[in-house]
Amino acid sequence: MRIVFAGTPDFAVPCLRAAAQRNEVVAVYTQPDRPAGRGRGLTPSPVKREALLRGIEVFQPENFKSAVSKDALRALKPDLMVVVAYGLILPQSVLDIPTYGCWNVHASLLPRWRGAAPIQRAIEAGDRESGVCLMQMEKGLDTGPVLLSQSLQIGEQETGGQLHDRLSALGAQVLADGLGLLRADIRPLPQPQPEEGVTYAHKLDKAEARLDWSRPATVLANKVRAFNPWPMAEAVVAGERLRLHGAVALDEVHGAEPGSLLRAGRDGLDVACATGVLRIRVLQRDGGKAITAADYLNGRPDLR
Amino acid sequence: MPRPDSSPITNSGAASRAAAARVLDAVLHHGRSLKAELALALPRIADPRDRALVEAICFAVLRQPARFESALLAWVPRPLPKRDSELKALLFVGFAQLDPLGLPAHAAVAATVEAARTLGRRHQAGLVNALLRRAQREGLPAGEPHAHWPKWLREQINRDWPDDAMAILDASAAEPPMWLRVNRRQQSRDDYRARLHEAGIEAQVDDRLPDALRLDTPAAVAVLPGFADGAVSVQDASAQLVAEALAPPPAGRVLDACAAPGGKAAHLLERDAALRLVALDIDAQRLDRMRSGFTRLRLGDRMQLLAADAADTAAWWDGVAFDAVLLDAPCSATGIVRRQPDVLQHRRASDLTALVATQSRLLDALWATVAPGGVLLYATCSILKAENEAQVDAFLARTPDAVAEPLDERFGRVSGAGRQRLPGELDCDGFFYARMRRKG
Repeated sequence: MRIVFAGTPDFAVPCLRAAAQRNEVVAVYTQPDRPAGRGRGLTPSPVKREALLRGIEVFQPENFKSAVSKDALRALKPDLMVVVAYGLILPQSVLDIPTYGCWNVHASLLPRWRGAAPIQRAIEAGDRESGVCLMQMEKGLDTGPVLLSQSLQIGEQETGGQLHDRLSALGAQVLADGLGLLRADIRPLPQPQPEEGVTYAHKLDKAEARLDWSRPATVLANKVRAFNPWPMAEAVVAGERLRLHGAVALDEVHGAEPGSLLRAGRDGLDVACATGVLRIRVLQRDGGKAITAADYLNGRPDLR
Repeated sequence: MPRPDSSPITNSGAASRAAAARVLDAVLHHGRSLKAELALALPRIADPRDRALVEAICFAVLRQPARFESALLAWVPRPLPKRDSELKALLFVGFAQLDPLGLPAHAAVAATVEAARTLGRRHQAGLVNALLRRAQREGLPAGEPHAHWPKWLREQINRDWPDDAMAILDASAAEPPMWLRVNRRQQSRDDYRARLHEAGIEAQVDDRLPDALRLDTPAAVAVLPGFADGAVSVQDASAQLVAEALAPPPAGRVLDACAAPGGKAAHLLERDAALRLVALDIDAQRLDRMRSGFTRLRLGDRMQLLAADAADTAAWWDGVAFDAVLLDAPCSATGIVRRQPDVLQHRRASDLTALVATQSRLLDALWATVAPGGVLLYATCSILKAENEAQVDAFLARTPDAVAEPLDERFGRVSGAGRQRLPGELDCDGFFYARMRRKG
């Protein structure tokens, strides 16, 4: 089976490996190299690096508007296109090129969390379950019928980064199942997504990272988990701007002003929220490394 | 062209379900390797589409045997007797077709019921039909995806690795990669990789490991170039790191105290043919199998093999101290569940107590055989702190002339005086390493 793979970030790499395991991946499409880091110049995407490692030809069009880019795809004679976190909109004329159309691996249980940041938004909302869907792509944002899906439980302390890694592995499994069936000449039955339960997972924005103490502690604790390792929740605690790596919500009744430091000890920095208390366990000072609250207090004897 | 909805029930439909059930029964209940079983089963299936279906079903079941196990427990009042292990495997085949594979239910059920007859289980076809219809009606319990882990062990892992427990269970359910160890006495790793490439087998290298290759797709050893002549062995990356961690001095006198099946001893000799190696194992039969492995690798005459209980030094030790001692201790094997899922079926909390006692007995007895200035490497394929971090800490506390030597991050995260690799990290098995030097 001739597969064209389209994907960009780390999340997509296990899927590329799964696709390449038993099939011919004739080409990889990925976003153009982007400037990254301080003065490191143009950096290839993780998917591009994996493709080059495997000796697969890489295409990096800016978009699919031109006839030239469509002709190039058509010339590859793909049986199937697998799209995983590619980051480009594919017009209907592109979706129609491969014999079996385009499959997309999406990191949520659709129709919940359609869109760009399903993993972090699920944690931020306090969801206890997540999963991956293998979807037959249609025009529109993650609206296509679901071919196969797998779910998993979100751990109570699980961060966006940890869930990302697990879903990335699960996505590769679901894709492998789908491709295995296709090899057996069986097409998974497309199940239309239900009309109810649609939510949108908007892209993460650095501006959201600032914690607002006038919210409940549980909301803030979920945000800290969701935003680790990127963009990382930030807050001003006792006059210092800190990035928060790990925090838990305490169900404690207090009469304190939201944002005030109630206690500072080995277990963490306890900050008053609108309801409850956010206990900050692991944090990072400007220009420093992640440290425990206990280590932080060694440098801030004024807080003890 | 694909069949748009369902495949007609043909003999081949039932035959491929039966084949999948046989493979899974061997793997899940008789400790056989999936690779070996598929290598036997697939060539007997004529149609490549049926071969692909057998593979897809096997992979789907082996990723989540726990789910199917808990479904059975919920629906069958008494656990199926051992003699019906093949029936159980066939039920799993049926379940997996419904979820995760999402095949059209009527076709999947009919072919699986027919497969019961193919397997000579006509009298159980009705039971298969009833259970699969129920699964179709009620759906398989999502429930706890790791229900096949004994409760005490899940709780212990939660206590030992609270932040990683989920990832450990998930990694333990994943299909393990196939790692090879290239025999550097015959050729370099890169040369062997080129040989594989010529044979149409692609492999990746790992910078941490000078002799290791990871195959993109697991292959039967029979198709590996030069396997019969000892060019290469199958060994997980974590086990290959043992030689790096022990790092015996050139031509040193080395003891491998629990040596069977012999992979680590062989690796040590491949790295340094001049080592004076003594390999012990308590199980004489396993030692015999080890001999044949060494014959393949042409190392047969290079070491002394003794069947003995390593802790009973009076019985086997000639009193000449060792520069380096490898104690790859008997353990719970909780780091290699992805390779040996059956590990979970036989583990009780009381086993752990006995294992911990055996490990400390071995540590104390073997310490006497280490030369002053020499090293002992304590290694396990466990992820439990009682067998690893706590075991080593206790040993160091009661052994004044033992000093822990730091290992670098190639060996995983710091865990007490040693390093712990958790299963799945960098595609490796779970493993623990602690290197201790005897004050000279």
